[in-house]
This record gives sequence, structure tokens and C-alpha cells, in this order.
Amino acid sequence: MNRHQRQNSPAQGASPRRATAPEPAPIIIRVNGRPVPALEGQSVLAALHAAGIRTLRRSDRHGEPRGALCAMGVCFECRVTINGQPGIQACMTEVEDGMDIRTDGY
Amino acid sequence: MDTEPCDVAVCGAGPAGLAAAAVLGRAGLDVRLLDENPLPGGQLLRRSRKPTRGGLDPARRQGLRLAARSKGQNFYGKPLQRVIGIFADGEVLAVDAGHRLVRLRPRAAILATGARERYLPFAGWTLPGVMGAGAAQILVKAHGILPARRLVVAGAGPLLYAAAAETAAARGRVLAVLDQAGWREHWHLALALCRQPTKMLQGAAYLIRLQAAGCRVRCGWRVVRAEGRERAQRVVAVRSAPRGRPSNETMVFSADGLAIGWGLVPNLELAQQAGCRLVHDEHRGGWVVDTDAALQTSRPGIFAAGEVTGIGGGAKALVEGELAAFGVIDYLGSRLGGQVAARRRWLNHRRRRELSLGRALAAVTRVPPEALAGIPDDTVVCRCEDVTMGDIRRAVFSGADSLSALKKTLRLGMGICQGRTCGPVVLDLLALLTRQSPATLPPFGARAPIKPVTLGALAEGRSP
Amino acid sequence: MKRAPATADAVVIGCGVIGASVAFHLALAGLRPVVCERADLAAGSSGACDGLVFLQSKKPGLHLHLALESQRRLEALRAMVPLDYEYLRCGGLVAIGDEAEHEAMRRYVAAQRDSGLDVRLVNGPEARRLEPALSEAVIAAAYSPLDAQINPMRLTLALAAGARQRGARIMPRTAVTGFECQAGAICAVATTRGTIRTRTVVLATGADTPRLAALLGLDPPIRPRRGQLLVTAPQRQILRHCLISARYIAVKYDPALAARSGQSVSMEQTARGNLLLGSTREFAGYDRNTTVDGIQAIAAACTHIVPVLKQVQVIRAFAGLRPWTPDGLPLLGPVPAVPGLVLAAGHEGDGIALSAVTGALIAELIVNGRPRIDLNDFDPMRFSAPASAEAAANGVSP
Ligand SMILES: Cc1cc2nc3c(=O)[nH]c(=O)nc-3n(C[C@H](O)[C@H](O)[C@H](O)COP(=O)(O)OP(=O)(O)OC[C@H]3O[C@@H](n4cnc5c(N)ncnc54)[C@H](O)[C@@H]3O)c2cc1C
Ligand SMILES: Cc1cc2nc3c(=O)[nH]c(=O)nc-3n(C[C@H](O)[C@H](O)[C@H](O)COP(=O)(O)OP(=O)(O)OC[C@H]3O[C@@H](n4cnc5c(N)ncnc54)[C@H](O)[C@@H]3O)c2cc1C
Ligand code: FES
Repeated sequence: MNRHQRQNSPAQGASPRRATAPEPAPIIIRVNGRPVPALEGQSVLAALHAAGIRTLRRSDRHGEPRGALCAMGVCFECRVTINGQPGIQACMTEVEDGMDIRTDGY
Repeated sequence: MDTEPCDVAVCGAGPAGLAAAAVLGRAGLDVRLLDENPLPGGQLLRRSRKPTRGGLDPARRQGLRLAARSKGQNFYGKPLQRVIGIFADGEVLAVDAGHRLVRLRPRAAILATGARERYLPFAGWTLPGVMGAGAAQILVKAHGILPARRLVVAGAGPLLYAAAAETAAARGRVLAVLDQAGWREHWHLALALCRQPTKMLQGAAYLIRLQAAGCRVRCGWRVVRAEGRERAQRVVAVRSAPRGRPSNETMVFSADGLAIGWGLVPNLELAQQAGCRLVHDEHRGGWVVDTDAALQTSRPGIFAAGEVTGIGGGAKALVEGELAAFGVIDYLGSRLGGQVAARRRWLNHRRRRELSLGRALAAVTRVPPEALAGIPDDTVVCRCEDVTMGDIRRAVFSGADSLSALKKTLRLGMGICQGRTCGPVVLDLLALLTRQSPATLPPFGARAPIKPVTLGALAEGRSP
Repeated sequence: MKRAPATADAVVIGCGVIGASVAFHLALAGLRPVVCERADLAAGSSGACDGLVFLQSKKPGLHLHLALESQRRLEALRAMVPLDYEYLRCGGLVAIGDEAEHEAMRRYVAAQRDSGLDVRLVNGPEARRLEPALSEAVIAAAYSPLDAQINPMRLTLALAAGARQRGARIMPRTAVTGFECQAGAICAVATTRGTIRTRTVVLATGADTPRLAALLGLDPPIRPRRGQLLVTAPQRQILRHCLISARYIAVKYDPALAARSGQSVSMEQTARGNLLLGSTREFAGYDRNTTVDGIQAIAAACTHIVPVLKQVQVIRAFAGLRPWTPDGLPLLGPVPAVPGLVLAAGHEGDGIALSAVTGALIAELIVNGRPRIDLNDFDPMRFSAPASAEAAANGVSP
């Protein structure tokens, strides 16, 4: 999954509207044991998305891949395990330096 | 842990909640503004931590001003407080990001929980890479991240254009916007927008940007399939049959992202859980919270504002927030200043105008029966419990004629999202399959906790 | 709106698990009953409860005997209805938390063994070997391999569907609003979809029974006893058995132990993987709301016994109204004052477990005039006769 992250990241901060603000600080999170760069203030979902990670869990009945649908806390499709606590919504949680994220839940 | 008394709990810090809290704060009341997001502003603002000016939309500009101010004021509580229930004794129970309970006992409450997107199921919509148009918008707007390298946007309603245009503005590749509504429905929307020149301008700006970015904009088309292994790789769309004539015109896109949405539905769960009565109004988006003229719900002391009383957009939310705050001040017996009566009249006038916009929105986002009827049997409808369209058809055939009957037979809506995702569309499906009016079919009920909370959080500080 | 039929062999009021079972067994015996349900099937207690077929919690004696018979029937019924109700004989544990409970359970288990139940006491380590998720707070447990669980909602739907297949008519959203009598005997039932002429009416209205009985001038001593319940998101297997705390039995039968503070718990993991965690026992009228206090008490008690639950998410909580009776036993049988009226209600916390046998016995009573098992102990009139004073005194009072 690390393969995608460099290719997909140029859009970070590329929105044309803003220029003056200070850049958010880069931090490192761990996803399934591997380091992934993220920016302070980002949601876990955004950080994973920027790293090219789309599958966040498997459906518990048939094991199908599932990823974020609503990104606003409604659908619960983005559940990941964060620092050992399963079932956390990636879209509603902000990244923290050193955060341990697992996407092998169901 | 004991409950903390306060004057007013405002649930939701979108435009409606912000506007309400500002008025209540000025009236000297002890206000707690609770929102499950890290930043106030709701769906209208959805901004990053970097400052923005808000662009053309006056509602967005006013919202930004309120949000900026709310942070400095002491009534804006800690962020990331998710309200999970309002109980019979008036207690408002919330849980914070650290899985700790927040227990408030306000004298009045305002429900400003906003709206979410409506999704229509189709083959492959569970594939990673298929996301809400709102999700795409949040990724680009709040986080500066492209939703996909090659994005298709499909569904109905103005949000599609916003998501597409914002992605294009961030130099993302948007292959197409496929709008299910035909030109006729758009004509009504355009008429309603005539009275709102800024919105009209915004729409035009979106279209120009999309045109310039080489994006195809097509009306009367709908997505029927997303394909791919492990994630979306292809999107198949067909042209809707004009006036019942079958159509076999199709388009296939090679895309790694598909953003979808069919308008908005209100987040009613908190109101339902609290025992507030709902009414059905198809012009306001179906089931909405029932209120009196002062925006008080059927439960005394609980008021509602914004999208929960009917889909109508940011300006309506701002107006209603203020109106609900006046209602609360009245209810609590506090004194209102001299000019309030005139202000209320003006707000009510604005509210009616915005509601007429909502009506046009409801028309463009209505899902036509043939789109519902055409969902194949093997398509998953309830994503949490993997209930398929075929399961629903069979259950209806063997007698299930209400949402609660479907729930009991199929576990539909019993999963972790509690029917938020599938509920609105299943209601439409059920109405169609059983030939009942949607107004006679009550939506899924809601119970505390309206969103999941760990047992550890609930148990904390309590001896067994 | 569909009209009710003009006549019926029998009218069953209420389509909870008891009404559905009575209708099924009546239809099995060749009658064509009509079931009137005010709301949807399983809208009452039967759709807001656990699914324990827990034998250990039944009073030694006839109560236990009936439960064993009911369990046999629940196993056999699976082949006779068109819907799987997820019956699983998972075995059950009664978790014991302190010496006082241990002592009470010693006596209780001995009495149950005398009544023929396969049950034994195990020490703490052995309890944890059986159920690894149990905490050290559990000092011992009573174990029976016979305890089972079921999906109560599906059981209700399955029995109703089986009844329908055999000629019963099930009418949801049809409320009974009154009765017509001729010379004191029932001759018709008035509903929101028209009047049905019939000579036999079964009141299977759970906690609502006093409200309907009042229309006939009766006041059976059934009262709603609220139970709040938490449901978690589906989990991989956490529990192998269904589980209750010894306090649960205490609250049911032992007023002295019940008076001590603390929440009794019941836990089961459903076929789907959700955990059902219950439950409170409160007299709060017909109020079906949950309370912060109730929810917290259950969470605290359950995480105390099974600590891994702390991480698990609750996705909803609800409350059901158990049909409580003063002596913990249901009211089953005819009411002499109103010929044609049969009561099948008041199962409190055992309605699911006792559903099959209740339906069978009531059907036998209606079809043959007398059931195979003597229903004397369950006589609906037992509280109005002086002989009932002792039984009433044994019960837990509100
Ligand atoms: C995805 C999406 C994108 C949109 N984009 C636009 C747009 O670009 N332009 C536009 O004009 N309109 C847009 N809208 C419409 C938008 O709903 C309104 O413009 C406006 O934001 C409505 O204001 P509100 O205060 O009623 O609700 P919202 O803005 O939705 O605010 C509700 C707030 O309540 C919070 N909340 C909900 N439930 C709870 C709870 N239980 N506990 C704590 N907090 C809770 C939410 O987190 C949210 O912050 C969008 C809507 C959606 C859903
Ligand atoms: C929290 C909780 C946990 C429990 N756990 C267990 C357990 O583990 N095992 C167990 O065996 N039991 C358990 N029980 C008990 C069990 O749920 C009940 O004993 C059983 O459901 C009673 O069934 P019923 O059919 O008599 O009543 P109900 O299911 O309440 O059915 C009565 C029906 O009558 C209908 N009705 C009422 N008035 C009218 C009218 N005027 N016209 C038409 N219809 C009417 C109602 O709508 C309702 O559907 C539990 C109960 C609770 C509350
Ligand atoms: S993506 Fe829907 S809840 Fe996070």
C-alpha cells in the first residue's frame, strides 16, 4: 500500500483558495505496522486515502472489501482498529503522531 | 458521575446550531454546543483548519463568521462530543473522543443534527472507491486530498456539481457528472434559484469550471454498476428511459473513484430517540421533525432547527437556528429585547423563501420508481447486514409490509449504522413494492445510544 | 384495509411468542384461529427480550418440569415451521460472585438436581476453563449443558408462519377494542377491523393483559416489569455459553439476596454475533423508555464479569415489559366467571422458554377440554382464592 502514497499525495494542500496559512505539521502514523505520513488535523480516513488505502475492513458476513462511504460518521463502513480499540470510525477521528491503525478488522 | 446543569444544550454545531448558540449566548444563557466533529461548521463549512473566506455563498460566509466566533466564546464546549441520547428526565448524554461520558441536564435543548446523503444501491456500490459525493467533497475541501485519480460523479442534486467542481478545482480529473434528473426537473430548480442570485451564480461557476476541465455533464443518465476486484475500476451508466421508452444507451468509464448521492435526508435519530413527533412532507425531504411556529417539537423544551425540520440548505439553517433560539428564550421565560418581534417576522419571511428552494431540491433529487424497481436481486441494500434486494422482495412477497416487519425478518437496519444508510431508500422501496404511500410508512425507530458507545465508557465510575 | 372475518373457531389476542404458539398449536389440532395483533408481530415483550431457554433459572418442581418439556418441544418444532429460529443448546453458566451467593446456589442446585436437571457447581478456575472470558470476580459457577438460546423474534415469526401455513389467520395492526357476551359467555370480539363472532378467546396479551381483562371486569394480577437490555455490534465469539449472574436467580426467587444492591445480569451471544446484555427488573408502569441509570448499571455489571466487553460497542438499548405475576408463574387456563375466555399470559421472564409448552397445553385445553399436564398451579383464579396467600407471599413484591 505504500506504493501509492507518493503518487497520490500531490493534491495535499493544493486547493487554490488559500495561500497564507501555515502548513500543518507532518506526522507519522502506523498502518498495519508500516509507517505512513500524515498531516496534523487530518482525519484518519484522509490520511489513509492519501496513502492509497481504500479497503478499511471486510464485511463480517461475506468477507468483502469495504471502504469509506459517507466520510461523515453515518455509515460506519470506515471502522478501523486504532491503538487496539476496534470499531473506530476513521472519518471521525483525527490522526495523532504514532497512532497505530489496523485495517484488518471486520 | 453526576450530571451537569446548564441552560441550553445545542446538539449539532452546523449553521443552525451555531446561529442558535450565538443568540443564546448573547442572551446571557449558559449554552453547551455539542458536535461530534473536530471543528464547528457542519456540512456547509466542512473546512480545513486553514482559514478560508467562504467564496460566493452568503450563508457560508455568515457560517464561517459564527464558527470563528464560537471558538472564542466560552459556550463552545470541547469538540468531538457525540450526543447519544436525550432521556425522559431531560438528561442529555454524550460521549467524547476519549470515550468518556458527558452528562448534561439542560433546561431546554435544540436539535440541529443536520442531514446526510441519500444513496441508491446498485451493483458494486459496496466496492471501496465508491463513496458519497459529500465524502468526496470532504476529502478535497477539508483535507485537500483528491477522492480519486479518475472520478465519476453520479446521482442527483446540486451537491454532485459542487463535489465535481471542487475536485476539478484541486486539479483532480473528473470524467463525468451523471445526473439522473432530466432537464425538466432542473428547469424548476432554476426557476426557484432565480430568487437567489448568488446560488445561481455559484451553480454557473461550477458548470463553467467543469466545462473547462473537460468533464462531461449529462442529465438523464444513471449509474447501474461499479466493477472491479477489491476496488472500483469501471463505472457503467445507462440513459434513463425517456417517457417509459426502454433505452439501451450505455457509457462505460474507466475510473478508480465513483462519487454518488441522491439528495439529502435529515438526521432524525436524536429527535426520534427523544420522543419528538415526526411528520411526512415530500417537499421537505420525507419524514422530518414536526414543530410549531416557534420551532418547538412535540416534546416541550426541545426545539429543532436546520435540515432536521426539512431539507432547505444553509440559509434556512441559519434562519431557523436564530428562530429556535428565540423560541428557547421565550420558553425559559427570559426577556427578549425590543426589536425581536420585527426580527422574527423577517426571519419567518426568509424561512418561507428558503423552504421553496427545498421544494425544488426535493423534486430534482426524487428517485424515479423505475430506478428503484430496476435494482437487481443480488444487489446488497443493507450494507451492515448484507441484506439484498432479492431478500427484500421475497420478504415483501411473503407478507412483510412495514419497515419493522422487514427488520424482524431480515435484520435489515439492525446493524451498526442502525439503518441510517439503507433506511431512507428501503422506505421508498417498500412504498413501491407494497403500493403504500410513504406517508403511512414510519421510518426505522431510534434508541439510545443513537450511535455506538463502548461498554467501558458506559460502565466507567460505576460499581457493578 | 383488510376486514376481519365474520366468525372464527377461536380468536387469539396478541401475537407475541405466546399468542403465536397458541395459534400454531390450535391450527395443528385442526382449528382455524384468528390472531389479532394490535401492532406488528413480536411488537411487545417477545421482540424486546433475550432468548434464553435457561433451565437453571426455573424454580425446582413443576416450573422446571414445564421448562424441560417446553425445551423438548422447541427442539422438535424446528422441523415444523418454515423459519429457522436459531436454537442453540450452548449450555449455561450461573456466575457466582461471593460466598453468600455461593451458599444460596448450593441449596438451589441441590433442589434442581432433585428435580432431575443435569446441573453441577464448578469452582472459579473450572468456570474460566469453560468460559475463558470470565473474570476473577467469578468465584464459582453452576453449569448445565442443557441451557439453550434462541432468537425470540424469529421464534415468534416462525410460529406465526407455521400457524398460517396450517390455516390460521394472522392479523397485524388489528387491535381488540371490546368483547360481546351472551348470558355471561363470550360471543364476539370487537376489533379495529370489524367484529369477529367466536366462542373461544385466548388472551395472550402479555403485560397488557390487565387492560384487556378490565373490559370484562376482571383484574388478573399481572403487572409490567420493565427490563432494559443492551445490544452490541456483532463480535467474533466472546461467549461460548449463555450466562446469568447468581443475583439473577436471587432477584427472581430469594427476597433476602435480592435486597442487596447490585445489578443482576444475563448475557448471550446471538447466532449473528451480537451480544445481548441484560437486564433490569423495574416497576415503572407501561413506560418502555431506557434510562441512563439502567444502561450504566448493566454495562458496569457485565464488564465486571467479562472484562473484554469494555472495548465492545453498544449499538442500541431497549426495554421490554415482562408480564410479572406475584408468584412468578404464568396464568394459564379458563376463567370460570367468563365462559369462553382462556388466559395465557404472565410468563414474566420465562415466556420464550415456556412458549412451546404453553401453546400446546392451551390448545389441548381448548380442543379436548383438558390438557395433558395438570394446570392447577397456574390457575388464573389462584390469587383470588384464600389458598393463594402463601404463594403470593413467596413472590417478590413491587
Ligand atoms: C455531505 C453534505 C455536503 C453539503 N454540501 C453543501 C454545500 O456545499 N453547500 C450548501 O449550501 N449546502 C451543503 N449541504 C447542505 C447542508 O446540509 C446545509 O447547507 C447546512 O449545512 C445545514 O445546516 P444544519 O445546521 O442544519 O446541519 P449540518 O450542517 O449538517 O450540521 C449538523 C451538525 O450536527 C452534528 N451532529 C449530528 N448528529 C450529532 C450528534 N448525535 N451528536 C453531536 N453532533 C451531531 C454534525 O456533526 C454536524 O456538524 C451539504 C450537506 C451534506 C450532507
Ligand atoms: C429484558 C427482557 C429479557 C427477557 N429475557 C427472557 C429470556 O431470556 N427468556 C425467556 O424465556 N423470556 C425472557 N423474557 C420474557 C419474555 O419476553 C416474555 O415472557 C414473553 O415475551 C411474553 O410473551 P407474550 O406473548 O405473553 O407477550 P408479548 O410479547 O408482550 O405479546 C403481547 C402482544 O399483545 C399485543 N396486544 C396488546 N394489547 C392488544 C390489543 N388490545 N389487541 C391486540 N393485540 C394486543 C401486543 O401488541 C403484544 O404484541 C424477557 C423479557 C424482557 C423484558
Ligand atoms: S465513512 Fe461513513 S462513517 Fe466513516
